[in-house]
Amino acid sequence: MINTPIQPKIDPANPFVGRHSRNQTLESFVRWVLRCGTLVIVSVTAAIVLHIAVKGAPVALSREWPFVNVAFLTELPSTLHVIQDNQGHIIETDVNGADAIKMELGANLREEKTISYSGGGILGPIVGTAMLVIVSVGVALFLGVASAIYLSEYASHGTFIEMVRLAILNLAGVPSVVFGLFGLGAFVLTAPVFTNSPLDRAIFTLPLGFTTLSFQGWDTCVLSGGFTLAFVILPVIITASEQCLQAVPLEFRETSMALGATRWQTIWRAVLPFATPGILTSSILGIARAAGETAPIMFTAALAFKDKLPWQKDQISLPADASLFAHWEQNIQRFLAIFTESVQALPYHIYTLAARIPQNEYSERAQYGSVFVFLILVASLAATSIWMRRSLRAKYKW
Amino acid sequence: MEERLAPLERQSLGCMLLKKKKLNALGFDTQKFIRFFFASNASVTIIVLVLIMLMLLREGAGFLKTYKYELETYRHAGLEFCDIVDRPLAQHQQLTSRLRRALGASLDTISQHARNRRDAYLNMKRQIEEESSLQREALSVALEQTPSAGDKIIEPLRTQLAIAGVKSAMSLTVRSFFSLDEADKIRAELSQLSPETKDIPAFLKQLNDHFSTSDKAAKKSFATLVKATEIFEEAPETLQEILIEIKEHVLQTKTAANEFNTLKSGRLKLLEAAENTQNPVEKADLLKEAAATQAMPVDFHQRIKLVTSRADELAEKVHQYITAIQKAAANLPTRGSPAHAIALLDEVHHELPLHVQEMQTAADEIKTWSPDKPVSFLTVIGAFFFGSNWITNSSWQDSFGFVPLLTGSLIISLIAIVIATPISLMAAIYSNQFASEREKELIKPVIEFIQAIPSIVLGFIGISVLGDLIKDVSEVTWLQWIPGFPIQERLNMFNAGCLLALMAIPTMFSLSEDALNNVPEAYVDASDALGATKLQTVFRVIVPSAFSGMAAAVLLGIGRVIGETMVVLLVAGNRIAIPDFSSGAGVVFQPAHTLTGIIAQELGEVSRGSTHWQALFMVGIVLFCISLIINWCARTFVRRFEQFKA
Amino acid sequence: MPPSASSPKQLPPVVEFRGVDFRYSTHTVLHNIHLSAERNRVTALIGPSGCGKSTLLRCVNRMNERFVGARVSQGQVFVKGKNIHDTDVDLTQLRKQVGMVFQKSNPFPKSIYDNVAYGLRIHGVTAKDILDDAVERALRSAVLWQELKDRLNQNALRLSGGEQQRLCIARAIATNPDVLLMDEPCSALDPIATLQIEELMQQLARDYTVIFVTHNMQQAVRVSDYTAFLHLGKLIEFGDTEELFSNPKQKLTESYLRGTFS
Repeated sequence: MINTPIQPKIDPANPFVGRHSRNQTLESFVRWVLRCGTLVIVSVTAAIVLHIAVKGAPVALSREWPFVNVAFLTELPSTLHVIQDNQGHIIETDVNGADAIKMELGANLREEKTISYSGGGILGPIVGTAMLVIVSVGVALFLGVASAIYLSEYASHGTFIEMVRLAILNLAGVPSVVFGLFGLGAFVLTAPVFTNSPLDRAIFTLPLGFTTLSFQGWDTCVLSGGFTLAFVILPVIITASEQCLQAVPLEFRETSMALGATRWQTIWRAVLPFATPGILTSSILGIARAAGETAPIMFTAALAFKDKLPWQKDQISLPADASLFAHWEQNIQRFLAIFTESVQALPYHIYTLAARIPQNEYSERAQYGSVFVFLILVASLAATSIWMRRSLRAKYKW
Repeated sequence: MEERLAPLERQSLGCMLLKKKKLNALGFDTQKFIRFFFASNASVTIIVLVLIMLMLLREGAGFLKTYKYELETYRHAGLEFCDIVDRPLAQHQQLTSRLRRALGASLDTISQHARNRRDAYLNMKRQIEEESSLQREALSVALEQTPSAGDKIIEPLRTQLAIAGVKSAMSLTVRSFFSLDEADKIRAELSQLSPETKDIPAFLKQLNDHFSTSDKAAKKSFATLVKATEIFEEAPETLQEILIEIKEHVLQTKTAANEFNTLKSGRLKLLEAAENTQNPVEKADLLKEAAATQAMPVDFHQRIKLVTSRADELAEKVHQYITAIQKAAANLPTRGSPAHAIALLDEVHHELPLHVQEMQTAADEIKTWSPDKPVSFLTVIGAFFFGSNWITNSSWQDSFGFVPLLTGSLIISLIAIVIATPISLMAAIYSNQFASEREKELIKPVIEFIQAIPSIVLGFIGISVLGDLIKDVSEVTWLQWIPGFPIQERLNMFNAGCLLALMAIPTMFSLSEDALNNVPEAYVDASDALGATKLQTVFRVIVPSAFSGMAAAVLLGIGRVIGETMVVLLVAGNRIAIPDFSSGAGVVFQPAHTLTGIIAQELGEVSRGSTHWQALFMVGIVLFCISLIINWCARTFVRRFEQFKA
Repeated sequence: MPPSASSPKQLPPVVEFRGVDFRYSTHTVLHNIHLSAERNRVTALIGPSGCGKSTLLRCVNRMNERFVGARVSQGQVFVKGKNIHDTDVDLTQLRKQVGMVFQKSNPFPKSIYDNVAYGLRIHGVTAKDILDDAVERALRSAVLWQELKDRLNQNALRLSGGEQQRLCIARAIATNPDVLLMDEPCSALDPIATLQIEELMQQLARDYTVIFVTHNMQQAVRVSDYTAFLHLGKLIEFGDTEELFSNPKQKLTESYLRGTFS
């Protein structure tokens, strides 16, 4: 529109002759240099995603309906047995299959290779990650939204607020492995439990008569890991929630207060309803972050291998005449027990596959499959969040 | 129709304006309670931060004490005494290896061709054996099980093997060491390999003979070098014999001391339990058990005498060793060998005086060494923060020196920052100032996506793709001018640094884009009105105004990079040693271990409360402090920025 | 219909609008403006808010055109006898010769010296002595030299509001423009600072052609030689300030001056 490039005319009548061409060459050069920087980022990301997709899709997806490798997504990880007979045929199977085939082959068996964790599917890790995410996001949302409400709605300036903000900033910068250490020290080894037989390591026990409150820790379990992750994502949730609360116009609050509503009524009826969609949207990013962290759960929740889902557990059958109450109690205990178990988690599973077992073509297949599924999960979370934010922005405009 | 509504009833003024008494019987104000509830939630962040500190300190602070004890034992038991001689003696091995390489290079001038031919033959043989392994195994099994059985079973197997052998021999590529005739000969020989024939193939025999004659000739013509190397190698033998004796002795002392301590603490626990228990029977049992674990403390004094009494003898041996190597070095030839062998010999000559001097000091030191010198806390702190060895599960002495980990972390972060800073700042400036709307719509989601990629996935990429990629690139001929190329290790600091750069990009990009966004429009107006071009406005006004914000962005990126765990754990190579800076910038292609990686890798395998466990928590404390410092710096930057914005 | 250039013609006009229409993508905000500003005179643009006076001012250095769809849709603007929308006009050169001061003072977060030298630097002046000289001259012209000569390296954002605005004027005149545009230069200042700026404007008129926008009629009376009154994008009346204020020809002008609407 302006500045169409022209040859500088020698025009005594024009007081505004410029040095067009040089400036423009320089500008387009700089523009291209900067664009290249941007392109590097985009293309590297694309290359990574493509590589994982190309290598991982054949494992996790299938050509026929339902287009996903059902076995890979619905089986627990197991040891892969690769059996070769003397004719050079190669059979892949699990441990039971291996025994049967070995019996059948008899002397014809040439060799048997076992590759840990690389057989079966990845249901266990997926379930474990889901549970960790549920616990952590639940805890973090509760604490985070409440903190954000205090910061945004109640707080006036003061030392306390300054300290809280400083703490949030610093918490956001703490390395994830330090959170792991914290989780180990605080939840695995110190957190309080009700028990009848406190352990020696409890730093403090409080007899309550019918039971004892013992600060002996929860051991490595979903709860420990979930709480640790909750504090990893807490700063993210607080910051995002506060932004959403601040985005609600001040007039809403003033109108509500002018009608005689109390502070809490104002928050509950005039602020939160408009902030909730935004808070939920940004909490999705928290989910993605929690699902992706490995270091905090390494010592607090994750197991390299487990052959059962958390709720598959032997249970003592109650006597036939057991009261309804006893059944209830047992059911509640069974439910709680789900969360006091260690689990496999997807990121830790990938770590195990990639770094703790010898590498070969079979383990590589399992690796790429898991990474692909993991990346799809995380990416879809991130995409949902971005998409929801866009549509929210279009919907709520004040 | 018109019916007037009755006027609304109004409360009396007093009733309205007076504050309603919300206090119930318990003195409980709902609004205050709600406020308190939210405030207490907000304080959770502070509590967590304090708890992190407390937990790290609780588990880690004991480190100073236990490590001090370990260092004391190290001294009292006499391990330190041995190390005085042993440490500098390690240099001998390096010198020897140089000599050997020089010797090898010299010998190669004569015998290399013959050796290469033999090795190539052996390689081909191995390859063919591998390719026909199925048939070979089948035949040997059959032969073993049925040694005298009819040819009925054996014969077809034989033919199968022969077919396979011929097939793979035909597809064999023979290297250029051999003439065409020889290649045919090799193929013919190799195609007939069979487990039944025990003889060495004729051509191999010929190659072997050729090699041994040329080797002999080589050794003869480099006789002085051979001799000198031998003498040099054997020089420390007597010294080491004595050293090993002493080492055994002091290790026994140390083990005994440790055992005594375990028993003692176990006994104390039993006694405490006995104290606490009410049941007299149980108490008696516990006391009895405690008495059973009674052990004699180790008499360090007595045992160390045996060590110190041999100091003179040891010093004498050291001196003998010194004269021996000096003599050997003097006899090293300076001519006649190929150039790089001479270079190696020169290095030996160059380093020898230093080694001799170190050994000399060691000899003097052991004479004056005393086990009673106290170990101060300062020494312990120094041993941790400035110690250059991180050795665990050692049969000799564990040591927890923090420097190798720190250097690893720092170098990797430096690489990441050097890569990520320009790229992300360029991208931020571009997308904020130059990009079209469509480009922005591409860039922003990509950045958010990168942020969402779990670190473990990037680490996996480093292991599975990037490592090989870098290694392949490093072998390209026209890139050999780059220091460190071709690289030895697939997993190295550079690899980790690249991936961490990718992880740092979202942080740096978003924060610096925010900073650019926050530059007031008025600055742009003023600059435009003065006739500045877009470029001038961007680089003379906008970027300088956003500078502190961008600096803070870079700092927080550094924080992210230093604290990252999984990528470095998977990709950095996990070699616990201070990288060798002698190769200049090529140091980035060496493997290393990091502060975060060491925690993730080792914490799962140590028992709670051990020195190792505490050392790992100490590393955690250091990491925590680093993150606090970085945050503080970033805040200061941002504050300075805001001060001028107002 | 609009009473255009009825001013005395002792000097050739430096800025001249010839039937200018200005559009922001969909709606036209200036209609058929004919106006000329004389050399070394102060011209004031007054009118109710939203009448387009700022837009008119920004037409002179084409600052409006940074927004998508904003353009002069009809007519021409001449500066120093040259149509500034000709293709051979270099925007940076135009803006170098048409300085501008904004409503809110906007010094860069740099030192005072760097602020004033900025305009020269971007136009390629690097010699230290020329810069020093120009900075001093500009600061003297803006009556700042005495106050600031000892602290030229201080950050400009530490100055008071009035000082900042005068610094912006100094920055604008450092490149020695012919025309100086001022967009409500005093509206964010206290009365004393306002007075200083007004004095400054009159002094500046000796060397520059000043066009300024104001919503303060008294200021127009105090400072300007000519006044243009705009309403709803149309130039209602333009003439000698005293004349226009004492004896307005148009009813609209009269009622505006009387304060019937604003």
